[in-house]
Amino acid sequence: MTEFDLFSNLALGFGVALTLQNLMYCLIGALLGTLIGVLPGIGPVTTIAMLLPITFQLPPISSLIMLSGIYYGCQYGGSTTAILVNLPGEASSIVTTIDGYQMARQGRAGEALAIAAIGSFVAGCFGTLLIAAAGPPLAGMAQKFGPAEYFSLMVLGLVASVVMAHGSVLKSFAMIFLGVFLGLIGTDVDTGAMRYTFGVGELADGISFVSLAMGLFGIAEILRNLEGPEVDRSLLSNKVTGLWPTSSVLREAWPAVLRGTALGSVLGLLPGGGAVLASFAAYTVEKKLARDPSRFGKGAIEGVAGPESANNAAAQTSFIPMLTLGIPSNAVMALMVGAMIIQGIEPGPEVMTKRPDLFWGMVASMWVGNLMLVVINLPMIGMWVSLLKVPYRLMFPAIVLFCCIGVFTLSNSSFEVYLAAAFGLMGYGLSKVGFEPTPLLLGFVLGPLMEENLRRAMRYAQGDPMVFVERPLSAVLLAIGVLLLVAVLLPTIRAKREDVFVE
Amino acid sequence: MIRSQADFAAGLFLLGCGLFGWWFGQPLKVGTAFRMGPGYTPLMLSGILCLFGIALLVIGLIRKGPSLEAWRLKPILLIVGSLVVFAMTVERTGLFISSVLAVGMAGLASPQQRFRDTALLALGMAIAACLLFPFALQLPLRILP
Repeated sequence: MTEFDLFSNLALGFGVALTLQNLMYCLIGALLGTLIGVLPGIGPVTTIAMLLPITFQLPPISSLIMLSGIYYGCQYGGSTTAILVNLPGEASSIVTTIDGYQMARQGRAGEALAIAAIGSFVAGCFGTLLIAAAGPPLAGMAQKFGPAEYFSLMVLGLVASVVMAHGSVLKSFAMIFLGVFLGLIGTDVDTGAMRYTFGVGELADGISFVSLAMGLFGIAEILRNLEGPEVDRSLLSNKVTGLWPTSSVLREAWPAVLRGTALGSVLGLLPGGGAVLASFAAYTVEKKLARDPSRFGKGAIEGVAGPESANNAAAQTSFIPMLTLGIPSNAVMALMVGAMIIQGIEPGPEVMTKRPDLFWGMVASMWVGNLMLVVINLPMIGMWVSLLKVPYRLMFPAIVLFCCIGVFTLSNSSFEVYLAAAFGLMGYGLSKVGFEPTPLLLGFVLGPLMEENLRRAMRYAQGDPMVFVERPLSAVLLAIGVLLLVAVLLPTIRAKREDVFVE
Repeated sequence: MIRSQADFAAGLFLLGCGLFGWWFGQPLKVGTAFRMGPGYTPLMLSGILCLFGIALLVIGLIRKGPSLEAWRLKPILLIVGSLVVFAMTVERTGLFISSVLAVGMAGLASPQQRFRDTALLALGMAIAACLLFPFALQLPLRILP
């Protein structure tokens, strides 16, 4: 791949992204992303699952542009709530509340918001460039993969997603296996046999992942939120001033933005990493590197700049494994894989060669979307602030209704709504005994692909399971998985891992 | 003596899933590793789920851990009920009525909810949904019975 290719590819991408229709969907995605980012109690997984049925009628590229806009857009919106109300609008802006809210109390809310938005923009641009640069070589490598390598790659992806995420390792693995099992329900592609359908016609095509995701994330989250008392969302003040940061503030924040971007880009690539881990790690790094760590927690600008850049960089680079290998690294990416399958696109390395317009169009749209988000977030901040006044007791019934309609319109079938209700109940119960829903969703999406590749690999190898360790690439992938697993079970690392997530 | 109710319950759940998969997977042909039948992977997974279930049961018995949190029944019944009511009515009564019912029922789940607000919200959301989905987005939904 030469430099010229990159430019001609980007030109192709911008040609796709800059059409009026795609610009509009990019804007809708960015606006929706900011909206749900600002509002605590609803996240990108629920929103994307709710919107999937609507996107079926759109061309694939427009729907993917809009859905990805929602994901990176909510990283921007999340910081607004964190800074102004001391509540994280999204999980990835939890650490931003620490110093961001303190800055707001000192009357420096505008400064904090501006640095968060500028940092996010820098990080988003860098992350997008990284997708453009790393995508083609990775996809080229993956195209040489046979079924054995693919199976091992998916195993590694799932292991890594458990190791990098929080929660009990044992329980997370159990959730992966349960997810894979649920993914196998329906017609067996290979033999045409019905598995666990109990004569229910709607189950012949398998459990729809929209119903599953909506129940496990959307409905279960509402049930959990309703347990606690409604959180106070009083604002410090309605007027935010000083949105143009002075050069001294910029000088202070600049290094933290760059460090956050670099750290987030790397962590976003890893399965299970993503925006949440990146923001936590960036805060820890900033605190360690600071000449005077005692400023942290009292309104240090680096405590906003680092994590906010990191979560946006990670949101961007987490697209890389999904777009180039077809492996989702978090729940949102699992939904994107599902969205592609519904649109008739098989996710994987072929996307880049068979549908270059799709890959490069998405990359270009991300850059455009990030630019839009700075405008949406800074000059229009007042509008988002006023939205915060909508209390949760009026919000959640609306979410329930949109979930119902979204699931129903999937195939105009009430059965899907019953399924979503059942999974909502299951998700609530699972959270009560310490299970995480994300590994289940990842297993569910990857399950059928894993079974297919396992079958094909075993058939080529005459039923000899040694094929997975005899083929060098597959062996290396599995070895990395084993190493990760051993590492996480070592007592010292285990304690560190718990520290990172507790803080 | 159960030392961690949460882990024990988690184990019971997984064991239940595994046994379910094993029992109802019996009619499926297993095949061989070379030529896997439809039952090969599901039955293997059922076995694995059983093992995980047993492991968690044992952990729940020997390692001290969190006890089972209480379930709040009112929100569960109202929210899950709201989905069920929507599913039951939407094809018969159309989107408007089933939206009013679903939002009204869900709205009662919040302890701070006031009746008048809920009624207004239900009406407003139903009108918004009818304007948005069948009209603006052209989804095939009936509005009225």
